[in-house]
Order: sequence, then C-alpha cells, then structure tokens
Amino acid sequence: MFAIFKKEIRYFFSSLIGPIVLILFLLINSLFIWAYSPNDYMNVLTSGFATLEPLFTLAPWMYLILIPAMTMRAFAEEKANGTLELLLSRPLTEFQIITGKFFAYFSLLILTLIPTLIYYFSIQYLSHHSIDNAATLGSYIGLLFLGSSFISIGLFASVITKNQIISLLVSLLFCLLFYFGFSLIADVSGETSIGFIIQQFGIEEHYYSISRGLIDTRDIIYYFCLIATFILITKLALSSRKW
Amino acid sequence: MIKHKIKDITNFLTGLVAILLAAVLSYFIFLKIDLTEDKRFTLHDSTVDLLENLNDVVEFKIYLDGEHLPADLTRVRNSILETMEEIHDIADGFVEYEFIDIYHSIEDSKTQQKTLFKLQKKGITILPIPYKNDKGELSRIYIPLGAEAFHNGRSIPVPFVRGNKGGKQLTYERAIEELEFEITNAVRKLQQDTLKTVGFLQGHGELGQYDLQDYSKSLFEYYNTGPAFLKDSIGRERIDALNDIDLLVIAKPVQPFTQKEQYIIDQFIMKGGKVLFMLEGAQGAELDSMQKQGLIFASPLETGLDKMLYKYGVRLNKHIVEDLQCSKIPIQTTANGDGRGFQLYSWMYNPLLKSNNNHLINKNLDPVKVEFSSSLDTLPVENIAFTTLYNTSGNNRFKKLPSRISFRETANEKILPENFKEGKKPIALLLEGTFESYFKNRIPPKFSNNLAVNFLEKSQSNGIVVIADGDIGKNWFTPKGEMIPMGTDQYTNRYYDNKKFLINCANYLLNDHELIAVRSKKIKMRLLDSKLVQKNKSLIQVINIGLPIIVIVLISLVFIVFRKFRFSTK
Repeated sequence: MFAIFKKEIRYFFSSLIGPIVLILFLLINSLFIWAYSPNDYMNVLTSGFATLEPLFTLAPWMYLILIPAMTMRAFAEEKANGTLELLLSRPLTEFQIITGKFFAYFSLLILTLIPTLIYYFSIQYLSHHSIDNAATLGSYIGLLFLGSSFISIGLFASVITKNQIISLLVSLLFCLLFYFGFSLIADVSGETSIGFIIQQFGIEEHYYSISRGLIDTRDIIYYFCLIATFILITKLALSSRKW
Repeated sequence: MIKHKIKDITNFLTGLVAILLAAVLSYFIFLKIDLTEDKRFTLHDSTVDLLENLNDVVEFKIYLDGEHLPADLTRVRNSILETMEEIHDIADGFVEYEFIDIYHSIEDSKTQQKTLFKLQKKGITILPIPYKNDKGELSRIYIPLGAEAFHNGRSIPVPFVRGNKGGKQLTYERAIEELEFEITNAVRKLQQDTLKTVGFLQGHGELGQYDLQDYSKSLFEYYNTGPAFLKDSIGRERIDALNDIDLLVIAKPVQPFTQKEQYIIDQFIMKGGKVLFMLEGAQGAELDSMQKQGLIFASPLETGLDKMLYKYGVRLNKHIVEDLQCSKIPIQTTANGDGRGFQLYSWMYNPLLKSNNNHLINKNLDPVKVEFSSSLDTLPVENIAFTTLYNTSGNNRFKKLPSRISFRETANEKILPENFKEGKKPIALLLEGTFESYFKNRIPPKFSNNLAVNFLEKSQSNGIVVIADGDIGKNWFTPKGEMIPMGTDQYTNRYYDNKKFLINCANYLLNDHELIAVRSKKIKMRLLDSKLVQKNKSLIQVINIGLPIIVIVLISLVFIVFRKFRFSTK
C-alpha cells in the first residue's frame, strides 16, 4: 500500500503539470482573498474581519475543478497503458491499491492547504491574534472532509473508464451533484419535508456548519459514509474485470 | 468466475448496508462540539430551558432579507438564520420563523412604504441600501433591521440593533451578539401576563425622568416603569404608596426624608419589596457647576436614608473618593496660553471601577464610571450576606467633607502614589438576607402591636443594592437634545458598562436571573487593526500571493532533485 502511495506522489511531481495546477489553485485563492474580489466580503483586507472565511467559501469551488483534474488519471491512465493488470498481479489486494491511491491524493490535498497557513498568520498579525483559532481549525477539518469526498468520487470516475477526459467530466458532474446539486433539487422540489431529506445528501449542507467551527457528528459520519460508499463502488468496479 | 461475482456483490451489499445503518444511526445519536472560543453556536442554558418549556407556538417574521442585501448584512442574516434554525429545533417546532423580503412579498409600492413606516414606528431601525437596478441606475431599498414576534394574536417588535453605537461593523457584530437575547426576550414578554413594576422615587430632588431616561427605557423592555411618590398631591404621606411596586429605585435624593416616608420605605423592604439605592454622601459636588465656576464646595449630605441603611448593615461614608484609576476630562491649561489650551487630565474624582466578577450581576462587565462618589462600609449585622460588586481600586484616598475642590489645585497637584494608599472600599454592595426594621423598638408598642397597622419587625429573605454614587445611572444630553447613554465618557468617546450593571441589578433583584445570564454572554469582536492594514497592505498582499507559490516551487524542486539524485546514483 505504501509503495502505491509513494508511486502516486512521485508521479504527481514528475511532470510540470502537477505543480502548475497547485500553483494556479493557490494563485487564484490568494488573488481573490488578498487583492481582487468581486465583493468586499471575500476580500480579507477590505472586509476588515479577522477571519479566514473567504478561503473556506472559495476553496470548495476550486477543489471542484482541481480534484477531478488530479484524480482523473488514477485508474484511467493505468487502464489505458495496461499497467493496471501489472499492478493487480502484485501481492496487493484491490482494497490496498484503492486506499493507497486515496491517501496519496489526500496528502496532495493537505499540501494545497499548507501554504494557506500563510494567510492565517497574516491575519493573526493584522488582528493582534484575535482570529478564532478553534473555528479556523474546524474549517480546515471541514475542507479536508470535503476534499476527501471529492477524491473518492474522482477515484470512482477514474475506475469506470479508460479515457481521462471522460473520467474528468464524470467526476466533475458527480462532485457538482454532491456539492450543491442536491440542495438545488431540494429547493426546486417545493415539498419541504422531502426537500429536507434530499438536502441531507448534499455536501454543502454538511460543510456549512463545520466550516464555521461547529462539529456535528452527523456531518462527520455523513462524510465517512460518502467516502466509504464511493470506495466500495470503486472496489466493485475494479473487481468486476474478473467476472 | 461466477463465484467471484457473487462474492464481490455480496461484499459490496454488506458494506452498503453497514454504511446505511451508520448513517441512519447517526441521526439518532449525535453530538455537537462547538469549537469556537466564544461558544457562538451554543445557546445559553436558560434559553434552552425557556424554549423547551414552550407549549404554544411563537412565530417570528424576520424582515432582514432580500436580493440586494450587501455582504455585511448577508453575514448578519446568515447568522440569524443559523440561530433561528437551532432555536426551532430546541423548541420542538414551537418557535416558527419566516424570512420576509418586503419588496418581494408585497407587490404594491404604497403598501411597501406603509409596512416599512409601521415597523419604524415600532422602533425597528430601517436601513437605506443603495443598489444598481437592472437598467444600471442607482436605486435604493429600505431594509428593516428587525423582526416581529406573534403569539396568540399579540405581536411585539424585535429590533436587532438598538441605537447607533460606533461604526457599522460594530453595530452588526452587536446585532449578532444580542440576537439570542432579543429572541428570548420577545418570547418571554409574549408569555408574560403580568409585568413587574419598577418605580423611580420622586419628591426629594432625585434624578428625574429625563436624567433617568436611558435607564427607565431599558427597564421598560421587561417591566412597567413609572415615577413613585410617597406623598399625595397635598403633601401627606400615603402609607400604601409603594403597594404596587416591586422594585423601588432611589436615585440621588438630596432632600431629607420625613420619618413617615422612612417608615413607608422601611416597611416596603420588610414586606419583600426590592430597593436599589444610588446615594450621594456629599452635596454640591457636581462637575458641571465646577466647570462653570472653577471650584465647588462639597459638604456632607444627610437625607435620613443613611440611618436606615446603617440599621440594615451599610454605612454610607461622608467623603469623596479620589482614585488613581479614573477617567480623563479636559482642563484648560492657561499656563502656556496658546489659545487652544485644553488638555485631557486624569480626573481622580471620576473613578473607573473594575468589576469584581464575583456575582451574576457583575459577571463579564466592563468597568463602570462614577462621579464624585462616596464609599460604603459593611457592618456586622446578623442574617445579612454582603457581596461587594464594585470597589475602589486600592490606589485611592478619601477627601474629607466639607471641603473645597478646584480645577487649579487638582491640576497642579503632584500625584504621589504614596498619598493614595487608603485601601479598597466598596462602592456597590448587594445585601441579601432577612432585614431588621429600622423602626423596631423605635415606635410605641401600642402602634406596632396594632394588627391593623401590620407592622413588620423583620423581612422574609430579601435583597437590596446600595451604590455610593447617584450619578451612576444618569444620562446626559447633547446641546441638540439628543440623549447620551449613561456610562458614556463624552471626552474620550468610550462606553462604560453602567447601563448593563444597573439593568443586571434590577433583573437580579426581581429574580429574572436568566435575563442576566443571556446578556452576559459575550462574543468577541474579531476585527483587523485598520492601521496595521493600511500600513502594510502591499507587503501583506505580496507575501500572501507570492509566498504560497514559492512554497510549492520549493517542494517540487526537492522532488526533482531527489529523483535526479536517486537515478544518478543507481
């Protein structure tokens, strides 16, 4: 499992595309939060509030594109190159392969967030340490859960096809659906009780309170269930080649 | 092959069932952890109590809504929504709420205006919001910063902001901070049938309705308020004068009380009436007369109330507190004569008292400001418990009376700390227990034993608050006639917590402890230091945009170098 993990990470940095995508992600975030933004609220300096909330509002949308782009090749490329069979012939279970890849992408996710600590320290400095540390920690946890969900969706999208572009589109679609599609459907459905249930399937609904520093076990379990479900489906799809 | 397939699918299905089970279970057994420092997401216990015990629907119509809300108001709206959701959950549906965009729900523009006007009349702030309409023209909408609560056909307004203290952001932060309080307040009021009554004693030169406007208006939120007179229109004492009153506020009387008046107040306490004493030990000590004349003569003040208090266990000292922990006032410095000549001087006759933070009444309060205050001493009296709510700083001395106080002397005096070592003395005391009547053994037995008179020698468990300053609850007015809230320092534009303290006193004495508890919850304001932002804006921008990229580039380089190194050695 660790071998898979190392291989994925190394592969990510082997080409320029990986780091460039990371840089783009950070650049867009930084520009929105510190320099230019469509409204005052998003810009930390003009809003005047000592909070990282703009990051936690913006980042989910950035991950919506970034993570499918990162995970699209996870299985699709191996399938196209025929290396998947090679991988599966090793003394590794399918589950180990999937989790190895999952944690590799999870580490990359953490890597995208580490430079944002600079934002945090800047705000600390500008506000004489009055930023709410606990709430900020909660928000980071929420963002990690959200990103992990996107990763599991991306892995699933990658395992069902050989074509990376199709994988990208499928995971984009599913991420969108899970991120805010359900709340959209709930809004349209009109019926409030059914709408509420539909809404509960959406990531946004569960991200909202964590990102403000309120940890609700229901939200945590939701994320674990979502991730587990997609990993299960991925595993089923991976084993289906033997049928 | 088929065996594989069946095995895989059964594995998959068991996994799915386990996940589903966990998901469903999680909705029955759950836990919320509020990570925020200020416990922003946690409603106060007393609020929860109130909400859980509701058995009738209270409905809130919240008018802070619409598509043109600016960002900072959207933030306020969202946190209101959060709180309302939680309140709705806790109250088991007995609190309903609805966000209403007046411009959306009412088509007719005349009706819109009427609704807005009605809300404004009820005391809800209406905020004009400029926005660009579809044609790109600058237009304006009006957003009410408040809600209405409905219950059994009655309705009361729920303002989100009160008064305009400080800037816009500060006002909004306060709105979020006080929301829980406003909501519970409304629920409580709607459920209350009989209101308690607070009487402001008049007739002895006390602070009048204008001086106490801020205080009485604030108390009117929870209680009936009005003046209280001990004498009728032809000057005879009425023995039943205080019968309808639950809390008597005696603010800065300067004329003596007659024996009969003392008797009425004494028996009021014996019967369980609460009293808030705000008394001066000196007369003639006023800052405004000092500013007119340059100097004042202060002499001891005898109203007759001090003797009663002595019996209850408190001595009002006849001196004036001079405290090094004090506020500043401008004093003209004629020495340099450059025309401007006003400088802020520490004015030790305006002590700033830090909360002892030892009681529900003064918990989490900022300092309060007093003026020409006296001090108190406690006396060993049986069955009375004393709580010192505020005391002098300890770096203080006491000016004996009578004496002359002038600006020049005060400004010229060299402050030597060793002269200010007279020790701490209480300024505000809470007395609780059974009080013994001042008139016990002082009136003829024939009278006291007469059943019709119903003289009480002792009270049941009761409480009074004694403050050794009469101006603590006084509000001032600007030359234009606008009220300046009590506790405002006009010269430095700071706010002291006089108001919260006095409201807490009233709430506590009248047994409305939960009102205090909710009010004392404090959300810290988290704002950037605008000076620092301005000074370092470009630097911060460069760092925050550049540094993350450099970090990623460095990490990538490490990988590349590492790989090269590995491959070259192999």
